Amino acid sequence: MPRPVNTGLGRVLVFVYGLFAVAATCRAGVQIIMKFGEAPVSYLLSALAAVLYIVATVGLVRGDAGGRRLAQACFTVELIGVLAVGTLSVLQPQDFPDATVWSGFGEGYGYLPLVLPVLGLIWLRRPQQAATGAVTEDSTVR
Amino acid sequence: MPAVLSTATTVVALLLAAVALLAAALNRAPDRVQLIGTVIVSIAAVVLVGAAVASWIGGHSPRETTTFLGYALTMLLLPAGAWIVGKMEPTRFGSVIIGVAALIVPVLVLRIGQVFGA
Repeated sequence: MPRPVNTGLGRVLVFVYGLFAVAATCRAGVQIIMKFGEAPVSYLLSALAAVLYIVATVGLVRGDAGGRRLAQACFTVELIGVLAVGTLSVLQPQDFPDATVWSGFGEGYGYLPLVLPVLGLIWLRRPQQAATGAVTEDSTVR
Repeated sequence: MPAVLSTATTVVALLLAAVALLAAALNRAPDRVQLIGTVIVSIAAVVLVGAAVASWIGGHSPRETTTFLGYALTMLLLPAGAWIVGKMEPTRFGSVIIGVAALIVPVLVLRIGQVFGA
């Protein structure tokens, strides 16, 4: 049996990711509905971040092989996103008239947007199998 | 919105965070002390949001209504929600969840203050 990813530290990740999913969705929703024209790129990036947080939360909660792959993909895109947008927002602040979740490497959110995907990737990379042979069992189940 | 309410909410939330994260460090699952702390923080949150809504009815409206409502709702639900999820995880990580949520409450207090333009 693979070790569960949605208990222990995984449950903390589920909780924090769930919270970020709600917060980012609401923030992006308000920005897009109320003032989309002011900074469309920023608000679309916020919306993208929100979708990633939602999908990552769902993947972690499911915890099966597919869910883990889903979460891993989200963490990877998220890490690339926060590094790219963080760097750009420092080098070319004029491109981002309003802050996104990822601006300044997530400084508006206590740098959690930078820390979380790293933590998530480390968590998922933990040895999954308690015994040998579980790999075959796992792949036949899917 | 009286400043004393913001300060009180921040202080009890930070105390709960300290208790919960200490419990996590000592490898303890959420216990009665954290439950009492969660209840106190929840009461503080209800009083704070209640005072904000009261002053809104009194004519002092928030600068961004939607944002204020979002933060207010989050602050009312967060401590109880963290307790429920924390109890689902009867290990030190349950205490981590309650501690992390308690750390977010002061941020919400700060943001509500900004949105309200106290």
